[in-house]
Amino acid sequence: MIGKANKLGRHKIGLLILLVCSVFLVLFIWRSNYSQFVDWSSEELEILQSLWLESLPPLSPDQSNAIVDSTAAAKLGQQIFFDSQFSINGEISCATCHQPQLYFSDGLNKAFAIGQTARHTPSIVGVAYSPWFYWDGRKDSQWSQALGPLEDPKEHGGNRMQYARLMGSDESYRIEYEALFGNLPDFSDESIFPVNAGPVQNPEWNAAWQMMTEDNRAQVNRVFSNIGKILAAYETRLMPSETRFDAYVASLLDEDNDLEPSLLTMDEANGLRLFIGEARCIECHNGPLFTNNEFHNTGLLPSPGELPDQGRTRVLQLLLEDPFNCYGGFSDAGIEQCTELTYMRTNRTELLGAMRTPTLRNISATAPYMHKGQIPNLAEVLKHYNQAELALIGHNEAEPLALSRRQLQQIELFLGTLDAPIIDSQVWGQPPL
Amino acid sequence: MNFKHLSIKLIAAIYFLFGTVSAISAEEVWASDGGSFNVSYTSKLVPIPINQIHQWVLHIESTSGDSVSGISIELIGGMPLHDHGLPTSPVATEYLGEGDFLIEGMRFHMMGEWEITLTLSIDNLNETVLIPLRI
Repeated sequence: MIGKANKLGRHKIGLLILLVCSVFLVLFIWRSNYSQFVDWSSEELEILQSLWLESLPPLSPDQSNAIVDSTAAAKLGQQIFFDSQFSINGEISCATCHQPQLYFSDGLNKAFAIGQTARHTPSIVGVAYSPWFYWDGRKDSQWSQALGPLEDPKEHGGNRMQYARLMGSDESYRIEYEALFGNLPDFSDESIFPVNAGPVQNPEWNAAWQMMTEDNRAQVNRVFSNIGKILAAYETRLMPSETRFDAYVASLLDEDNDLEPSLLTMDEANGLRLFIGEARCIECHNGPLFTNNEFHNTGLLPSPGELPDQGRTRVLQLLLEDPFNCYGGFSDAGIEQCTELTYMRTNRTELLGAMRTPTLRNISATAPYMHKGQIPNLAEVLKHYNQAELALIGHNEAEPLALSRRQLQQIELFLGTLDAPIIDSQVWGQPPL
Repeated sequence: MNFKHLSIKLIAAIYFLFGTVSAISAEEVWASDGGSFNVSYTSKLVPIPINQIHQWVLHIESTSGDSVSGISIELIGGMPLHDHGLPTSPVATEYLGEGDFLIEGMRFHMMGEWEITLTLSIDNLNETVLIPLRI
């Protein structure tokens, strides 16, 4: 009996040793496989570093907005951004569509405020780095962009006279505005400054605007443009923070740690390799914000029942004629500083159907996708690029990729590593306290 | 030395080389198709960045080595493999003397192979120069 017990004990010890060895073997193989798949060439490492958030240079202040760096302006802009008084019905604010919890997008195919707009709400995190704004880039500064929705009948639906008067009639706003820009004009005489006026679709408001003297219109325009500059001072603060991908690159570049396997799974790392290689995503989604902020036709279908969107081509002349562009009298920049506008691309054929490349930071949290929200999820987006069919108008710059389903899944998994809150989200990512 | 350490050192070497390559590119000379001009360029930002508008200086001289002035310069560019042009419309804005011309509005928005085509016109001459470069 004792001999049998000893024999059983030896069996157990043997099994235990076998188990431990197996665990080590599995760990060894896993580790070897990880190393095999995620060893990066020096050229690839250089590309990864170019995507790293640490590589993002400090933002050059917008020369056309003299108050863009002012913290007081940013805080005032934050108040206005979340204030639904800045709408015709008192119910719409910038945050109606640019919702902080959705990285300042809205989760809808097309934005819905007073009514449904023509396009999808893009995230505005990090967009201050772009020379162009809106999907088609029809504005050349963040402050000028901010003015558009305020007067769009399907967005805030109001008019510039209404907003200029509000800055004076609200005591808190008036004090803060005047601290930044000096005294507001006296808009109290409604025979000179109508209650509602602006060069907008509403015929009554438009007629009232045309009846005003040029000098009085300029006074209103000055306050209106300053509201845009205040909003831009806030929106400039909405910047992305370090993601799991950034931590991974930091670890790759740090000789003193070896944390990579804990930061990206093998599938995610392989997705990243595809992203910068075979899948060619990096051609447009380059740099630390994963966007070149340029315009590309990628053969997107229009929304059902709609004609194809002409995109960048349609707005080239509008940009040059915009009184709130960099050249205009309300810009704080000298003409020589308006380099992007001066040397902008004007090839209408090449830009037909082209839209601005969006950032991919927080992309998995900002569905649906594309300028009309045509594509509901990232898997379908990747499928779209994998097929790269002919464009309905213009020329699809993308080419078929012939990636496998597995590879597409890996890219999608990688894109999920780009999520992170905005910088100082407790300060800027919510209504002012 | 493990692979990671080697890779980091290689990155440093590549950064050095890229800067050097750009500097060498600036020293290279391209002849016009008619053989009348030699052209070199220098980017004011080295290495040439993506997504950043910047200036170049073109140096143009005759094949006999004389500086050229009073010449009309048209610059276009693009990525032949992608079938698209530059994201900007650069312009020669100023003659800087001694055959140097300031080009404003240069910007590249993708990494890869680019081509810059210059059309040089003076008197009855009209010649082109093709400058390939990798960003």
